Amino acid sequence: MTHSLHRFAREDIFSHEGGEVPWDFVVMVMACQGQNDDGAEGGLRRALDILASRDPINLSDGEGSLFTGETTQSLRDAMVPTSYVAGVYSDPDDLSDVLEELKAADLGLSVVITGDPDDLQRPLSRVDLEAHTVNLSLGTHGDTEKLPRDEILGMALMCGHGLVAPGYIAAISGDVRKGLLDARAGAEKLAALCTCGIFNVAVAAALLGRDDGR
Amino acid sequence: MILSEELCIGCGECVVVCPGGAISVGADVACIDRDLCFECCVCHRWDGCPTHAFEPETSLPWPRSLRRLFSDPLALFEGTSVSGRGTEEMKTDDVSDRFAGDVLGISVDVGRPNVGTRFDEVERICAVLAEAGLRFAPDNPVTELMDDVRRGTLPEEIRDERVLSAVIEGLTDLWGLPPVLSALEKVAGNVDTVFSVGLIARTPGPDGIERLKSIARGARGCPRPSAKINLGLGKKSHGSSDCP
Repeated sequence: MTHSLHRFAREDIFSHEGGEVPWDFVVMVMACQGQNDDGAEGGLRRALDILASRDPINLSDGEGSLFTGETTQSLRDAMVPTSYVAGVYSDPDDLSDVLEELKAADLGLSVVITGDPDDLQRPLSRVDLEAHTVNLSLGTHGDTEKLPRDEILGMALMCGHGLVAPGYIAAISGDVRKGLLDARAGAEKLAALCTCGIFNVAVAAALLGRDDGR
Repeated sequence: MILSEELCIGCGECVVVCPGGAISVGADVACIDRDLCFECCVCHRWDGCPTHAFEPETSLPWPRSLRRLFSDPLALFEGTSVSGRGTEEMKTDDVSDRFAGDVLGISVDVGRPNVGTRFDEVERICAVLAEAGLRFAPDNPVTELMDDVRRGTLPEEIRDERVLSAVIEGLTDLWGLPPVLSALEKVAGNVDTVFSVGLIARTPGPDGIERLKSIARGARGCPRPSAKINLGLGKKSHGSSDCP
């Protein structure tokens, strides 16, 4: 289950002209099955409250998100010990605040963050947290000719399970270029297909806004 | 996936939504190429079909059922009870101790991103990893499907099943890593799909990520600027929250 690992970093898509892309951080909180999951739903609800309090770009319980029709309350109500809570952020200060509160809450649940290690350094040091275990992306290999162009791939990768099809992204991007949709609305349509709820709508809106279709 | 010909109006809006490229529009209505369909249920969950013409089959026969298990994140794999297609890997290592000591973890997401794969490609990669000495993670869905874990082989009847991705997970150590990455480099030119690789280690401390990058480079791996970090806040027995 490595669905957040291979997202594009900002530097991957900075090389193209067209303006800055927002930061992209994912925070996940979960219990370990068979070890500390018994009765974990209370802690997971507390984690959800903490994540929800800091302007998340997206919020989910692993099976639905703010863009698949859920609300913070419905996610809260559906929490079970095997759920994981995920929040997506584009502001390093929000990330720091979330981590500080999770640390102080001492829930005993595992907390995992995803992002560019260079971008994560400052938020982590601000709250005096450091790595315990690291999963490092070593890239994509094989017949990479099959991959879509970078702007499309950058969006597709934000649904790590691959549920947002490159063809759909290209169609939405086309609608944005034609003025049929604004970039934010287009990004929300894409996020609606990502059931695990870690699709960063702010990054997608930025990419849609500058995609010239080439 | 079943598409109701009675409900479908042939608008074709769904064609681009399908991650498998399995939907096309004929003379009057859309149709699904069952060979290409991942059974991921995206067309069913998408709210754009004006007549809600897509309906998942309630019970898929073996081995077609693997398509949904490996392609729909809301489907649970019975062996692990984890939604998605792998284990909890490093996400709960602070509790499970899966990567304690000098253990290095390797994850190979075959078909990811957005290309998909058949199990014959998965087996091809498993076989070279087995030959390179990788020990497959015991509670991973791909491992559980193997008919010979030492050789990394999969049952013949599943090899043609097409899935969005399948995650191979395994364990090695500092000495075993170079042959494993070398095997992946070689097989990369011999597969009809893509695969994304992750390297996992318990590397505590402020320089932990840099140490892991050095380990990767030492084994001719090429780290990307993306990492998943377990912050070590998990405990064997969590404090019971009184949060209602």
